[in-house]
Amino acid sequence: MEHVLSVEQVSAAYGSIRALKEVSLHVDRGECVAIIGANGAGKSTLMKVISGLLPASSGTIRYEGSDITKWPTHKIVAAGIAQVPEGRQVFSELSVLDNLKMGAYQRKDDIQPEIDTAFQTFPILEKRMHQMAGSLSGGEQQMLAMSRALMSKPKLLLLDEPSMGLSPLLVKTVFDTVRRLHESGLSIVLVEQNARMALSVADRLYVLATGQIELEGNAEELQQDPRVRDIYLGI
Amino acid sequence: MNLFLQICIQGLMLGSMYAILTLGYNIIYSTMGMAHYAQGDIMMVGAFFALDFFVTMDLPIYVAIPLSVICNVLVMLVIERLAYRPLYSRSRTLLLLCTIGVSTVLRNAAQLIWGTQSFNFPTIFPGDIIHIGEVYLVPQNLWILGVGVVMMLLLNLFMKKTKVGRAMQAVSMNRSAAALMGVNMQTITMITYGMSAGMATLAGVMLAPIVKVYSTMGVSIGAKVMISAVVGGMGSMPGAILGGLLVGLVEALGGMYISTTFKEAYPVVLLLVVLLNRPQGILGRKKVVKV
Ligand SMILES: Nc1ncnc2c1ncn2[C@@H]1O[C@H](COP(=O)(O)OP(=O)(O)OP(=O)(O)O)[C@@H](O)[C@H]1O
Ligand SMILES: [Mg+2]
Repeated sequence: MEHVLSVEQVSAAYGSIRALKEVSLHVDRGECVAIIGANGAGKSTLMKVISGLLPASSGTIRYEGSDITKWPTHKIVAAGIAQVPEGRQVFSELSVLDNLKMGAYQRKDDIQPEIDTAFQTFPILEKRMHQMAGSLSGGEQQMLAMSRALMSKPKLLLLDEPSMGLSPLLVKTVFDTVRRLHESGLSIVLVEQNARMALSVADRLYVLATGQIELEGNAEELQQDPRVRDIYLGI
Repeated sequence: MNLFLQICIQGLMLGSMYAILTLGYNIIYSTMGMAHYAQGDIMMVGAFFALDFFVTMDLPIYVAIPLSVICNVLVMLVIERLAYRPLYSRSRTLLLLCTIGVSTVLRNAAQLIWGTQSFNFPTIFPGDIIHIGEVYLVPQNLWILGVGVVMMLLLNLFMKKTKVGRAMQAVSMNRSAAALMGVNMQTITMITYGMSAGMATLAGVMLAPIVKVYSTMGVSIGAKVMISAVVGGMGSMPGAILGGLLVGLVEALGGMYISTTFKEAYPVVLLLVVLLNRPQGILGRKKVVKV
């Protein structure tokens, strides 16, 4: 089967800090792949490298058959990869509506259907439509960040810790949304600290430790794996 | 009282042009995170283009102004490409030093091309002095003030209502998030510098009949632009307008009621007073000022 995304032997560094060491992984069409790992393992770095925000020092990233390793971010977005970055990163002094419009920056067609979808999924965003994004609560900002990323109608969605700092109820809402997107056929890469939640939606799982893939496999199998159970599920 | 009103209008007229220049300086500051030291010199080059087209070639003003804007925007884009772009990924200090270098190069190039003397620039808004009661109004001043206000409104509309304007705001708030939305940074960079140079050219043309055109005209005006930016609050759009108008007013009123000899010093006094009371500028947010 052809992979939507394949990361081949990718390394990346911040100056002399080597944050990724020859990482390889792939995502098949319609698959939800989770990446878990401790703080500082390199998960966000991997997301940045895929989106072209940080250059890979070696290795290749392929997306739908093209080598996108050296592409600028805007071209990667145009090709269909959207990212919800770690820590939401909404445009704090733009309104909620303008944040959504920014998500559709490259689109030339009517964006109203996607705005409607966002408001249906998260009704609170419609209420706060004209409010500055910076004045939203953390959870509301997370909903906005997710909706904003979906405005580009991506084919591959990268989610970097969408549950960070959310109340259990909101975590559930966010994961329900991820599950629904997955069921609708979107390919997803989900970075999570919350391994239990990640395992509940993901088809496959990679464990990243100090910049390297330590384990990989089917979500159900890894749930039984003693290493995952001990370290990441804390059972 | 009448004299006071007249001087205020004179000050606001000057101030509106400082405001336009400061807005141009601030869009570069907030979108690129860089203090564009050469802003005054870019204005000077624009004024010389206008001098060539309007005076030397005798083209009608409505042709001369757009031509000057186009030429000066091209000059700015070439500078961006050759001097600034290679440094974006390096330290900000290097970029600041580079803009200082560009400022010197522009001044020297202008001296080579146009010489070191001052050139008179005929008024582009002729008309008899208007009397309203005891107040005498120079039409040119009112026109310039009007042009300033229209430009501010247009810029505001552009930033709030257009896709590109919104993208520029997004870039200034969060650069990497804007990239993740698919904003092409190179395009936004060029639009930012282009707009800034275009606005500087217009301000240069408006100021030319008042201050004359000469190769170092950008030095004192450039200094006032930076003072306006800091007084209003670095990067703030309303701050640029407030700062520019205040600097113009202080300069005109000080020149009238104290002495014209120290005309250049009054804005500096304003700067000190503001910095001592509100280091982030009148409308600025508390944030470490990156220079
Ligand atoms: N901008 C940066 N400059 C220098 N080093 C960085 C930078 N960002 C991350 N690092 C380092 O790179 C390594 C990987 O960081 P990364 O943010 O990818 O971790 P992470 O797995 O996302 O962690 P977390 O779960 O805490 O978000 C860490 O050692 C971190 O200190
Ligand atoms: Mg992270």
